[in-house]
Amino acid sequence: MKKGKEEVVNSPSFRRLLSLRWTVATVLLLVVMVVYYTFVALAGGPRQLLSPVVDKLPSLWFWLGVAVIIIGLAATAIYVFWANLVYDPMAEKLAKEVEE
Amino acid sequence: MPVTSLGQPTASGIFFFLLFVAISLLITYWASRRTRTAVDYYAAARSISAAQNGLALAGDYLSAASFLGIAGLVALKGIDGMIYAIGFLVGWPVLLYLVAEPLRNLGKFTFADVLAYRLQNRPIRIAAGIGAILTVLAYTTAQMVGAGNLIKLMFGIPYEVSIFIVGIVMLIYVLFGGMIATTWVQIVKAVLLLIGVTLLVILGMSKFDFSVTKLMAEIGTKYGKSMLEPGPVNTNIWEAISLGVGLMFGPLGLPHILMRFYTVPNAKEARKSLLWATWWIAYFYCLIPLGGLLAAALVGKQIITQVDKGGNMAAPLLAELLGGTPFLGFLAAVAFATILAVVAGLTLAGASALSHDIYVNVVKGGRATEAEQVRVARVATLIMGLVAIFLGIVFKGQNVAFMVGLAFAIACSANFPALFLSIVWRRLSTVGATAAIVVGALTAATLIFLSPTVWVDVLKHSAPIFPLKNPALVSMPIGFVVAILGSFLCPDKEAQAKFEAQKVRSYLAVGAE
Repeated sequence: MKKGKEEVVNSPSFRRLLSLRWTVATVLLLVVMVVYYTFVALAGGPRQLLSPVVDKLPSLWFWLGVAVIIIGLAATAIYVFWANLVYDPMAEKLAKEVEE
Repeated sequence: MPVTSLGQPTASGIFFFLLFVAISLLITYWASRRTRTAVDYYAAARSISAAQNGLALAGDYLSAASFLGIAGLVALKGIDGMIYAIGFLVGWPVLLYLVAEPLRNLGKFTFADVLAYRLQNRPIRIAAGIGAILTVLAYTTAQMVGAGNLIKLMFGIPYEVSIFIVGIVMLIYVLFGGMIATTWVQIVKAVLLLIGVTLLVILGMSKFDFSVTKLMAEIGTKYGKSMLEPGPVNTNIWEAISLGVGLMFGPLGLPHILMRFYTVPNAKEARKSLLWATWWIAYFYCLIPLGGLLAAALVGKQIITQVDKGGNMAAPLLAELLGGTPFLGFLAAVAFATILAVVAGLTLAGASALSHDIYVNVVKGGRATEAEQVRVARVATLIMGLVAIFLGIVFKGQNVAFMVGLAFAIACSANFPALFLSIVWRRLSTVGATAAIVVGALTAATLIFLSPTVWVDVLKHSAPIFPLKNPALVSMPIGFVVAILGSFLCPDKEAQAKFEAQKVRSYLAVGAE
């Protein structure tokens, strides 16, 4: 059975899809932002705290940077796989109901 | 005996450069036969795959500045340069979460299409078109001046000649091959750049038994511990955070990046292309700081600054040391190719704003035949290309470091707030969005003018009026506040009524082009 656009937008399943999409996106966005700005603040602020460690492990800052890069990449991958596996099937099902 | 053959044309450098130009012209010839309609010219017939678009996106971002500049920064100042590199990466997941999919579903060729879906066509297209063109021009100026200087350093070709070579060769790509040629030239260059950097780091790290710790320890004993800690570049925490905001949200308003999402068939491919792009950029930015440190350890800071004070030649000098003149020639040619490809992408993005947004949709009211659209696009390309050459010549010898910052600042303070709010906020009105673009761009430009980068470094005043080099932390919130205020003061009932239909299209891809 075909539905009008307004009806689809106001349907519980569409609302659920949207709130799920923005929840996933917001959580991942917060993870990326917290990790990145912590790194930036650490670099601009109390980096002396880590100074003694640099003597024993001179590559410390490099690996911290690499860790931030890998977390950014992982956060991208998680969203893409989630969207391909969960979001797209839900959206396709709803799209079939829409009357053009 | 000179320390390096840099600064004069070497046989291998010329060979690799001519090889690249030959391949890219063949690509252009092939692409020109497939470029007939507007969707071919602006969006490569939406025929680019996710993996290909990922490489092209990475290519747009891996400019000569990020390749030679960050390696040089790390070689001279230490691990600090890595903070820039990481900032360039974290914009990509944010782009994916906030704008990529709706952008692809709602638009046709430019991000102004998304705004014009609900808002009044004329005012919003003019504002967004100008926002896009300003961003592109600022970025292009930095690229062209950088190109002239770099090519002079590497090949010894006079500045003006380099500018003309870059301008004319990239115009051939864009004019005849449109987005198809621009994309494939970008892909070829990205692959060459990734191969070059990988080789450079593998050869260099072999001298340190592939141990990062050993390399760092060597740097520590040679130059002191401060090279291994952040510090000299980011002296102020607010400065660092503001730079971070600009780097994180800038890509969400850069027209030449946003335009790439229209070259793939649908939102799913757009999303996948972002993962590919992020992967390649992550890979590149893990290697490039190592390249910088290797240059400091093996070539030595003294020789690097002797050749170029800014350190831009750290990576080429390392290549010469490790692989002799042939490897240097290869890397120099790759740097040249990088400039060509990035400027081509920028020119096409500027041309699309000028022709698709301003001419076709404002002047002609959206009524233009296919043939007319392509013809106008080519004229706009020619204009943008000539402007690029002109800017390169006019700004010769000027300190244009602030221009990249300006491009990112306008992108995240003008283009991004309007684009993002139009996607998520029902009440965004035409006045709100237009005001956000105008005020955001003006604020970003004014603050940069009053900042240390222009007020002190260019105009030679003793103290800046605005303390931060990067204004994003202030100018981006202003863009959002203006959009919200404008929307409450001048609501747009028509735009609100279209929000349901927009949601169906942006989230379910119903009716997407």
